[in-house]
Amino acid sequence: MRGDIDTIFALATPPGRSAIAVIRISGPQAFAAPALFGCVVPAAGTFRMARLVDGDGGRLDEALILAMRAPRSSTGEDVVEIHAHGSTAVTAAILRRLGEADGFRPAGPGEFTHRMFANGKIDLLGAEALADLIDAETDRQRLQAWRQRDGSLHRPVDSWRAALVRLAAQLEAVIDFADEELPGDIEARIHADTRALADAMSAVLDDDHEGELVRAGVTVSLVGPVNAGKSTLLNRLAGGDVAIVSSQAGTTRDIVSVRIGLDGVPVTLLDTAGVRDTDDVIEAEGVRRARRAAREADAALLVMDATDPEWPAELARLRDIAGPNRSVLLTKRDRLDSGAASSVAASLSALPETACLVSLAAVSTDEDMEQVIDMLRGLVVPANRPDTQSIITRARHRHALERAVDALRAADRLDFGSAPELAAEEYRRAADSLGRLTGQVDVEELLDSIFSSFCIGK
Amino acid sequence: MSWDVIIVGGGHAGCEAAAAAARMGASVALVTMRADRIGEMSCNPAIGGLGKGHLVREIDALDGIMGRAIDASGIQFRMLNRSRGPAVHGPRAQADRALYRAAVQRFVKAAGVVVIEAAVGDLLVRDGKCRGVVDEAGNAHHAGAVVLTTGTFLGGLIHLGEEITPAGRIGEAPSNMLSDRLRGLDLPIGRLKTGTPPRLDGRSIDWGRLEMQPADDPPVPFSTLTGRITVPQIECGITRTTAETHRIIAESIHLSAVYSGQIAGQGPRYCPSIEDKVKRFADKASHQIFLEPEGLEDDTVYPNGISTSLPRDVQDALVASIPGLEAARILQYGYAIEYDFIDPRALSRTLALTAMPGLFLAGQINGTTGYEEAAAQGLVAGINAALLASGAGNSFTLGRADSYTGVMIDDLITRGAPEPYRMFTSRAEYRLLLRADNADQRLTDRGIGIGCVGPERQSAWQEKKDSLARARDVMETARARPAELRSAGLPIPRDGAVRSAANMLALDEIGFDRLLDLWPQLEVVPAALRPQLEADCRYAGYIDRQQADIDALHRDEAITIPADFDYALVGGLSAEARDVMMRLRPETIGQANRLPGLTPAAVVAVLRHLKRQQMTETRGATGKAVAEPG
Repeated sequence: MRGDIDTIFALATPPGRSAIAVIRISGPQAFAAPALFGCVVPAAGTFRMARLVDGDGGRLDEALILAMRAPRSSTGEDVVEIHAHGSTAVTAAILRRLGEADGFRPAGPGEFTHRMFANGKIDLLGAEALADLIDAETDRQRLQAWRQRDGSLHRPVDSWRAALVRLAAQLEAVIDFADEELPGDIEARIHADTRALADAMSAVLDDDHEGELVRAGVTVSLVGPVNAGKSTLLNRLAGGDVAIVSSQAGTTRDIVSVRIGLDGVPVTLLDTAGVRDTDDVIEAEGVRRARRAAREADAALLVMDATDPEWPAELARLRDIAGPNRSVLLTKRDRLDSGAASSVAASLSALPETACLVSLAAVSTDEDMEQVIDMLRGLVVPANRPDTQSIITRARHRHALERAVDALRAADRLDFGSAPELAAEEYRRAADSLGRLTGQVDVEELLDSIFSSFCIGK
Repeated sequence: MSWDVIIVGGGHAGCEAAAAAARMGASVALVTMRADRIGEMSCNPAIGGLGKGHLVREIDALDGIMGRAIDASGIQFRMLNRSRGPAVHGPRAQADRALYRAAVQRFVKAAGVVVIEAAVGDLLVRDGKCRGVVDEAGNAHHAGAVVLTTGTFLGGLIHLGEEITPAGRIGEAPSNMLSDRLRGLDLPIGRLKTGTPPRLDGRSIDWGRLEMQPADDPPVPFSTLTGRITVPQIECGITRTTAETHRIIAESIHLSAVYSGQIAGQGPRYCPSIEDKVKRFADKASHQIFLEPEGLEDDTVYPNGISTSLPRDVQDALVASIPGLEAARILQYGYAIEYDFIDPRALSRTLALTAMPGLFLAGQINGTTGYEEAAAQGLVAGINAALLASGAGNSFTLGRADSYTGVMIDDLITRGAPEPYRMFTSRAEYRLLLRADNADQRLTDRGIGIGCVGPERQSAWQEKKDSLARARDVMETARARPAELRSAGLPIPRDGAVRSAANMLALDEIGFDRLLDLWPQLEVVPAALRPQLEADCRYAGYIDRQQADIDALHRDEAITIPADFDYALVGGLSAEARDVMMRLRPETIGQANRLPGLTPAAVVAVLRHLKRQQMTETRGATGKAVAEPG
């Protein structure tokens, strides 16, 4: 039977052609792997250049072999890495040879990380941080991932937990040692310390979800009538005014997306179909999708043609489609005379939304694009806290902390003289919530979801 | 002679085990050194307290004897934490020691237990199974199962100052042969210690100077079969240590057996000697002492709070330095006792020794302290010994979600006893559910199912159950609209919804009595059930929330780890985790979760391996599996 005790292997670098490809092998038989290729294993902690041969003695590759002895390795098991040439033929041959050997098998999704976790090399927050680092596209994401890996959330959670355990223990003493002489002010002290703890945790929660935004990024949909300039805007943004992270044609026929980094926050811009009433079945479907995209996006930029005198009515319609986080952009200023332009500008300044009038024509100035980018920035980056280093990076963290704070406030509202047993339940609930953060309870489903979000070989 | 079950020891564990096995229909012999001391309270003459009172109610719910015995002998009943919620009420009573002993002996006899006066020196073992005992005179006593409840008698050593006397308790010989025999079995054996205070002559105490603490009026009985407490109730005195007391102790502390290094065993932190209190809490100027009379006809007084092993002359001076005790005569000096215990991690949930089928252990031998803890274990061991002897093939186990007894046994077999184990309410995760007031609802039907509940309790319980069902029905069907609630002077729900009497009781500060004007039909609910219904309603919201946890626990407990599970096959298991699991052999994933020193990841690794194994087996069973190597 194949067990967890198997030695696992996987290609740690992306498949395809490259200068170097790394094959990572972890498990009790890892040190036997080089022999499969006619090589000796290097001393633990060292590299060795080696000639690899295939099963028939044919030349396979010339590669660097690195060996790490358990427990001083990334997974905590014996680990061998083969740094071969990044050739499809070479890597395929190495993987095939490993797969044929007894006791070796390809790693499942997230299996290396799972072994790291099982061997105490990382905890749940550490595993999440590692996943975030691997997924990081922007500098802020990278730095945030490293902060979490270094314990930016773990440290406060540990100290909150310790404080919570102290509080709960004092309350349990009130209950279980009713006949003993406890300090007269013990109940008042527990109340005061509980409030202080809840306040400290609330302060961390009050971060405008910045860490989650940085990690997961923000989606902004461009919504507006046909020919308002949405596609032009997207092309301009994609055309070098901001750094493009990646761009892909929409998989649906109507939505094109561009991913850009804005102050370190990854932003996905969705260009939706023009919104208008139509009898055309296919177009109607496009409009329906546009509405849904607008509704599900984190923010919306309402784009309209300034030369269309009906734009205020159009705006009223678009507001119904978009969520509350929105800004208004009027285009084609270059087609207005100066009188009309100032009259539009005046109307815009009366709107509740942030709004501006620009020209997106090829001849327009950089200033126009600056204005548009500022507007996007306003939509996606929480104002007033450009330098905060939020330590909550996932909804899971927020949910757990919120539950803990709720429980603490509920405990504080109870009278320890008459209902200490109910307060004790609240402390238990708070501790349980914090425990979920670092993976101390209810771990199995969490682990499954976290570890399966990893790719093989990372 | 041959018996179904032999119980060794006549203390609280032994009596409960013997009576339970007898109720199960087994022929039972109780072997003890002195029949007249069956049911003796060796230390504090009191039963119950926080957590402990819960255990007594659970023993009663399974038709045990402790609750009825204390009801027949209690001379000061007090409900601890009375002002707090019902989940943390702690019924407690001081006993008249002679009356208590007499009551226990009566119940043991009535159950049909045969008492044999002998010291057990050896076990009869055949094919690795325990088949009886041999007394020190060499007589063999055969049995289908044996329960050892040796208390502090195994290798017992009494320390009084620098004097060391081998003894099981003061004036009685220890069981050294049996201790040697058990040591020969290669069991994990450790040493624990406990202490007891000097006993005083009540006639020499100046009671007039002392603050007195009265009993509750009316006293609340422990047993649901007790209608009313008829034993006269007395007051206890309260006094305190003085600066002079602390000076005397500090000066002589090197003479205390506990501090001179003479005792190796670990003592309980929550029941410290007065030496410990003075040394560890040096900033505390004075410690409270309860002066508890040991009986109505007995002048002996138990000074609760000054357990000590200091030499006699120091104890004399120490006692004389306490207000009211200046002229007090010491009848028996305090002492510390050190004894062998068997690491309870060697036991299964039935309290059977895993390494020797047929041998059950209960009480202090398992590292616990306290009469109630011992009795509750005795009950479980006695039932299982009878089941084993009968060849029925089933067992009786309790869990963390159904009883304090289950919490205790799980703690013991999972975590061991690094210090003498005492029950607290905080040990129970589901404290709001496991109340002293609903022990019968939690356990009596299970007791009836296994056969340990006699006819008298069966019919009393059936009556109560019917009455509870009727009461709950009335509470649910009594409903009122907000306007009606307002005119009755009751709080009005904000949502304008109709509320039942049960809904109203869930509100803070609404007691049963306040609902009677609006809903006179509630008068049919018997007064005895009202507090219980209040508790159920008050905790309903919290209990719903706990139910999810309990369900998860039950899921984990349902996944058993085979006794021969090969941890070496589980990858991703650190050497330390593998070592812990191989040593402690958790029976279920739930238990593994609670093992100290195990990370959740290790438990998950085992769980995954089990699931994979199961899947493979299922495939194999349906014939679809491809034969795999290894």
